[in-house]
Amino acid sequence: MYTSLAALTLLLTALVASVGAEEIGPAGPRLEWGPSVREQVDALVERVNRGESPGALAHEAGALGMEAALAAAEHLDPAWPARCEALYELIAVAGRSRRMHPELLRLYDPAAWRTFHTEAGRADQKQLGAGLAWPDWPKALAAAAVRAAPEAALDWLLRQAVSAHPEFAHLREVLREWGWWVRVGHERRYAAALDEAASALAASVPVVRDAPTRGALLKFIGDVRASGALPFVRGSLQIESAEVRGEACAALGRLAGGEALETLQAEAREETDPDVLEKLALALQGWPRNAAAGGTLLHLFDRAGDAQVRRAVLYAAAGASWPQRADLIRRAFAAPDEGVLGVALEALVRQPAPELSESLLSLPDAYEAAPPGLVDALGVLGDARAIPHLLRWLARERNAAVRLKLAFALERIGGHDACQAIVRLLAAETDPLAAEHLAGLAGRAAMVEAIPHLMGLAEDATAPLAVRLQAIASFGRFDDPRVREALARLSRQLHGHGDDRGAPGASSMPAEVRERMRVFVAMARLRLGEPGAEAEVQHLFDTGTPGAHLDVLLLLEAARRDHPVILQGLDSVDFIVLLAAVRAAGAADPKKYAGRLRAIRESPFVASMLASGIDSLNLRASLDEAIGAVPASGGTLEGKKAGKDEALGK
Amino acid sequence: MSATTDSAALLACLLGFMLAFIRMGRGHESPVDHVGRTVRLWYEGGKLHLAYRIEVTERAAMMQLHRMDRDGDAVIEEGERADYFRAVGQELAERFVLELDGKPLGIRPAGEVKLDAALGQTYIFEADMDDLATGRHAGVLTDGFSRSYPGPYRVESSAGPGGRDARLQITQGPGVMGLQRHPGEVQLRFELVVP
Repeated sequence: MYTSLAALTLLLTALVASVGAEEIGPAGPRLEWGPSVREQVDALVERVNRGESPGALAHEAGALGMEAALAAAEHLDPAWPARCEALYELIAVAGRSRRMHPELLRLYDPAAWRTFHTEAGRADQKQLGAGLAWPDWPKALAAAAVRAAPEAALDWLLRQAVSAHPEFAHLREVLREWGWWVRVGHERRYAAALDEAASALAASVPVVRDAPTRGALLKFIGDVRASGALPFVRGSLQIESAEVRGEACAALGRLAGGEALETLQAEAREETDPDVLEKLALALQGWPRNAAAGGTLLHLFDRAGDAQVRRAVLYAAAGASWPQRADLIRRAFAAPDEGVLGVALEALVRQPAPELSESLLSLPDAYEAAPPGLVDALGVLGDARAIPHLLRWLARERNAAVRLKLAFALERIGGHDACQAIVRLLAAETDPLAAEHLAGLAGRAAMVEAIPHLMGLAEDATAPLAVRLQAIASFGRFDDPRVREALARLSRQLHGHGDDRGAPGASSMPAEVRERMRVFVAMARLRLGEPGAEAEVQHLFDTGTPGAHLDVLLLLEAARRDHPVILQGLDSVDFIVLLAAVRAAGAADPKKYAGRLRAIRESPFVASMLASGIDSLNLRASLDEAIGAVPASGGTLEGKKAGKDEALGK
Repeated sequence: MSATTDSAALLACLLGFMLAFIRMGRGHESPVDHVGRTVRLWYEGGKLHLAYRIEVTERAAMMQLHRMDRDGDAVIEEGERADYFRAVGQELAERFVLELDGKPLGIRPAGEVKLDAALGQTYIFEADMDDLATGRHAGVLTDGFSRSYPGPYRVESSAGPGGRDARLQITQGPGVMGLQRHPGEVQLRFELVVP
């Protein structure tokens, strides 16, 4: 049924070999054995001066940091365009460090810290931004200036604002680069200055008369949320260029506030261009709790026959709590063509609408095969009347991913027929990914009939590890003697005792596999209250890798169970472990951990991370959710958020 | 969808992600922050020297600052910096296993960590190798730290700051442990020639 042990071993060997190659990944900066930073920059200059391509040298030298960028700036000379192309590429790479916390720069790249965070650095920035005064710009100049020479770039922007002949193309490049830099959370210092610069540029007659530059400025205003430029944005809706009006709508959505909403509402009544209306509809996502925004979009849906606009309206409605939301989706059922129904179903998956049950249940008859969006929506609806349709589709479905979707929908609906169907699927499934998810699903729904199949998977040494782990994780849901025995058997085998009857090969198992198996077995035993499991989990955490810590904490979160390792996880230096510990703490006992969680959220370096683009896994939301789960005198966080949105007219 | 359901779905995703990491091997990125490593080994003054450079992500470096900043004043004082990196150097030394001719040798931190702009931290270690007999000596360095963090691994060369030392040859590396050991644990084999 599954890959043999030999094949599994082969897979793991291949996995291992990826670590074992002589050189993997990009070269880091050389250790002190190699040439100095200055020598490497000089080598780059010499190479380009000889007419050779810089190849990867510019990027490699840029990775050496701002010391390399400053050395490069000494060689800038517009009489040597090819050289300047390479040098500004180097400076742009080195300048990426400006997004970093000043203390990080002070320790790791003192030249960057001096350049960006001291008065003396202003002169360096001027030298780095010398190319801004040249008539012909190297390709990387705008990025290099925004990153490595922001003072020089800001001065240049302000000069453009008062110039009778602004450099439109260059201005658009700088606005695009800086807007992106702000949008992704890299800008730490110049938000207020950029707001002022935006207003200054908006007051420039030549700038606003050039439609492409005006469009770029509007996008920039949205990116930096330059609220001072709101009157200019509103005025831009009167411009003939549809591109400009579209950017103005998008900017209003990012600026938010009551005045911006009123402006968008008025525009929605008059505008006819579908591209502009699409941006307008998406902009109204910014007011997810404001019924006025929903009313505007309902009217727009009726007025605009264009599917592009209707899809945008439904995207905007997906996460909103407008009273008109269900009416919008109902209208999409009546005009389903060109992807409109698909977006409506996505909206229902994101947030169900019980009042649409009958409409939704009338759809499956028209489909012989399972439409994935409809399957998801029926699952979220959770109405048992959908089960015959799901089973009908399941009987003929050959695609494992769609079978899995059908199983998830059945799980959500629940009930005897749904459970039986899932158990039958689990018994017959040959796709490893589907089997893994079905094992988890059988556990979550505590399907007792699935126990023999889960035992078979967990103790099948030829089954893929992920499937075995999921089956073992599901064991923790069953207070059943068969499961307890299986866990005890696995535990003995993984500790080198007992026979290999159920899990042959335990003694020759790779250490990483054995470690994970032990974690999952111990966690399932802990969940069932088995003696010794508490200490076993503690031992595995104390001696485990960050990957093992993550496994333990995620399983504790799933079990909503407290354990001393949560506190250890909250003290971890590994971001992913901290994140998992925060989630586990919030699930297990938010009141107990509230003080510690607040201290983490407010600690300076974590707070800085949360405010930057490097919190890509959204630790902030997990912290907020865990802390918000504790009722406080000031109300829950959700309540506070709602109050804040209300104050903003959202 | 309720907040609870959202949360459960995210948890299922995270668990699935961890399971997928094993299923897909290294082709699927581990959610644990990667660490790049660059290693140099050389023999000088009767000692074996190891320069071990790790390159961390910005997020990992920020977490380290969070750990360093004991007084929570958002400034890393020299004492906080030195204490932190000294402790890391010591921990690394404890996780290296060095053997020469099949016999274990102690390896200890030597000198201050050197930081560089690519968020690199270079630690220097040394091991006493006095009284080596003339001839060839087979050495093995097992990196126990490598099993905790995925990431690229490279050996620059068997040369010290003074240049290449023909007495020490990397014969195989970075190799990997047998299946009885942790598969992510990297092993470096070398040969030391004493004239």
